Amino acid sequence: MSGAVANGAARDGRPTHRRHDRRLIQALRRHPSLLAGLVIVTALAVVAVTANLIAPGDPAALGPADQQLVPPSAAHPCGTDLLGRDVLRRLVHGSRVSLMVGWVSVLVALVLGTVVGMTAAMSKPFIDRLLMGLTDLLLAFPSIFLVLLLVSLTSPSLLVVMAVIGLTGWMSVARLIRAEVLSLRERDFIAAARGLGLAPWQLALRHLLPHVLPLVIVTAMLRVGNAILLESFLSFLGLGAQEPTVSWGAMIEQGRRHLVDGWWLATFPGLAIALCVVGYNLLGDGLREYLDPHSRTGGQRRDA
Amino acid sequence: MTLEPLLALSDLRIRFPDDEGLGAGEVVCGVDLLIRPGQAVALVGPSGAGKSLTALAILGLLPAAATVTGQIVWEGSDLLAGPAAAWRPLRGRRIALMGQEPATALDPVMRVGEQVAETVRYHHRLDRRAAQERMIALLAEVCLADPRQIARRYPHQLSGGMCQRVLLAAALAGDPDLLIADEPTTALDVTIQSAVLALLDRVRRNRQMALLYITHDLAVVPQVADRVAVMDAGQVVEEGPVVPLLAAPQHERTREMVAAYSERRAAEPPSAGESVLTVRGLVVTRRVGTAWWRRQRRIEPVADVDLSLRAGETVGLVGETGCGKTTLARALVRLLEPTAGTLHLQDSDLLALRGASLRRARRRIQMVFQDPGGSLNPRLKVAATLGEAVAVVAPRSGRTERWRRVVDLLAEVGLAAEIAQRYVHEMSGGQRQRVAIARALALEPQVLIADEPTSALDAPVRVRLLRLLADIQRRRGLALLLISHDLDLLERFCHRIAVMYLGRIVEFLPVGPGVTLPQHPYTRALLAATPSLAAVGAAGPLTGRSVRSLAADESSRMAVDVPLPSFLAPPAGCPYHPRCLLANDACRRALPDLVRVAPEHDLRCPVAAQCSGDLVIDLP
Repeated sequence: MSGAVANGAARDGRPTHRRHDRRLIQALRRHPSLLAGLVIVTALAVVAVTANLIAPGDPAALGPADQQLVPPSAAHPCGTDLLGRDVLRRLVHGSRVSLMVGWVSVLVALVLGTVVGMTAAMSKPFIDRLLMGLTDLLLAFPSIFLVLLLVSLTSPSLLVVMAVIGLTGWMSVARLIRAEVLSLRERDFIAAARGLGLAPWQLALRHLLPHVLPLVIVTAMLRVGNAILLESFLSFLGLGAQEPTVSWGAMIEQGRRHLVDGWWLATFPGLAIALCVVGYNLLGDGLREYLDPHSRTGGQRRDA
Repeated sequence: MTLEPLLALSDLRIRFPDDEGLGAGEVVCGVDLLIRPGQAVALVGPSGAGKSLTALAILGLLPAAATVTGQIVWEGSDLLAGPAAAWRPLRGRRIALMGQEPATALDPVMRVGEQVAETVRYHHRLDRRAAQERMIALLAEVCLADPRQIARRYPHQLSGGMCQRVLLAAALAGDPDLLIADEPTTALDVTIQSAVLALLDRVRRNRQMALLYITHDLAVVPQVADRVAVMDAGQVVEEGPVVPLLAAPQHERTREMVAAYSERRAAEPPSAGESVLTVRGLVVTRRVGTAWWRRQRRIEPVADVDLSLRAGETVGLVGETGCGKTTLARALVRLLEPTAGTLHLQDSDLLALRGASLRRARRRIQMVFQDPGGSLNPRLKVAATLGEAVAVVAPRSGRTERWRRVVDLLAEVGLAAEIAQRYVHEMSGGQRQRVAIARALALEPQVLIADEPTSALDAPVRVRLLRLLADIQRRRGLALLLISHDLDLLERFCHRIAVMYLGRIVEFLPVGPGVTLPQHPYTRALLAATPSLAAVGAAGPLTGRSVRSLAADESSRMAVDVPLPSFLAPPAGCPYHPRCLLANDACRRALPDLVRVAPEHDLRCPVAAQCSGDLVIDLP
């Protein structure tokens, strides 16, 4: 609606994106964790997207019989497994599963959590108490048990894993968003917007959501790492991705029995998981520092 | 005066490197200033003029990034030429600083007496007991009744005025020759401000101490200083004895600042038409103490308020911090739900509306908030903020139509169309408040409620904004409710003034020539405490008068050593009686009614009504 006005006015306004670029570069220099996280996460995303290009071939197809359990070498940088399959190729393809599970489950948790949190904060006390009571109730269960219970009730598949991780992760997001909206609600510009006669949904979308978005993004990044760990854990237990789908957790499970004669089988997937989780945590921490309004300089000068 | 100067600044320049976040470049450019022993000099200027930086430079406390050149001569020796260590024996011992925010200048986890005693011990190398005695003497000197008991309290247990007194005591601990007071009363109410200023003046004279008083408020200068230096954009533009300088300012910026304290809107008689907004017996109740194991208490920040506004009329609402002004304003636009009473906008009963019909009715009564930085969404550009308001009135308008409307609105509040592309943090305080006004006007309201719209602004900006509001009001025939704690400002721009005390209107009086004088002891005390340039002949009709007639008047004084009014423990009877010097037994027993004592003049004080019902202002 009035965004249209802003566009219509852009003719005589000077471009602001260049300044944003400069600010981003400055931020990357000031927050090395943001830079490191961004590099790792981007690299992993590129690997996952281009898996078929950089590691062509079916990662599940059996290798030649004389190539079984070969230690790392020039031909197979990460060695091969019991069935003669290249571990590196399997790692590359496995990243797709990890990333997909991480992102989809977090997206589910975020959408649910944001909707519940905002609704609770903007509703009458009765509804607020009801929604938050439910949230606290679910939060009271140890999430690992909840996940294990839900997964073991159904036949194991990736879809189930994603849904379950998402459905058990929204509670803390809801609490976070509710707290943020409650404090935002007391700010004058929200009162001013209410005074204009805006409807509640307009308030929520135009004035509240943009302010909680940075928080949502930071939480998302921190949770993606968590979700990837959880997926690996489930696959390790055999409750997640099933053959022929490649998953890092399942790879560790297979390598577990050959820690002595095939150390590379469990080591490389383990390192991949660690790298991935560290990357997302660094990115989340860095974003939090970058988006935190308290750490931002500039703006109007105080009285001299 | 032929005394050797205590402190002489010559060609003082302060520069910040360009990549520093603060305003880069030269921020203080060539300041010359002389302070002789025992002299009080006021350094006055708008925000960002470089006043505080100059003060910090004198103490050698500027951030390391700053480059300082020129001379800071203390008793004949240039401090800038010597080593940085040369400052140390001076700080606190010879030159003391009293800061701006009493609440943050004191350590919250330390008893206030301990904080003063610490300074005493450091400067005088006294043992614990001697320092304790000295500390008690200092607290007594700054007029804290029962200093031994106050010394044991923590900062949060003291009011702002008391904190400021403790800070003064701490500053005096080293027996300095020069006290630098940086806006010490900015955060205080006028009644407390006037007490602190009087104290500062007395202490200074008794100790024959020099004072450098930094302020943006020209009106307090005659009260505290002998000489004044007016600063603007890093330079002292004019300097001289207070009264002659303010009576006949030479520099353009000084003239502008003085004019800001004398400008009045043309006195036009308020149209005697029907009222647009009628409030009867409005009550707002709030619950405090939300913990479930505690008994909940109810307070009434707005108790039984009657108010009416006519089209084209400006009504002022004045009162100390926390008297319920803002709560009343928010209840009027229904951001808060009143508990009782009626609220009529012309014929429609606003309190009966719900949901969509309430949202439609909101357009007709708009509010401008105190802090424009907070009331504008920091993530939206001005164009989006105003466009949103335009869309409320004309939901089907196209983008070019809306854009044209936004430009019109900006022009109406005196802003260029380029402002539309700015974010909140890219604008000055005055620009922000204009945008906030434009947003309110976009809805074509009949009533505009402005809650301290100028309290965050410098005096000239403040007056320009009020002039703008008055113009808009005349053009649109708005009813305007102007809320402020500055009675001098209100009486220059309003037709009628309502005085609020602890949730109740205690006096509702007309302003202008040939009308009755304020009679309520509280109104008179406010008037007497309100700083104004009346001493140099520039003030509103009431404050101008107050200096001559009210200052000597018993009824305009206020008991000082009483606990400040609180909604949690409202006094029985008249809420003002604990601070009132006229109070009798009847006042302590029953709440007086608001009765009409003259045309358009209502008063809630039977005592004052009997004393002086016949005073009339005789100004042209």
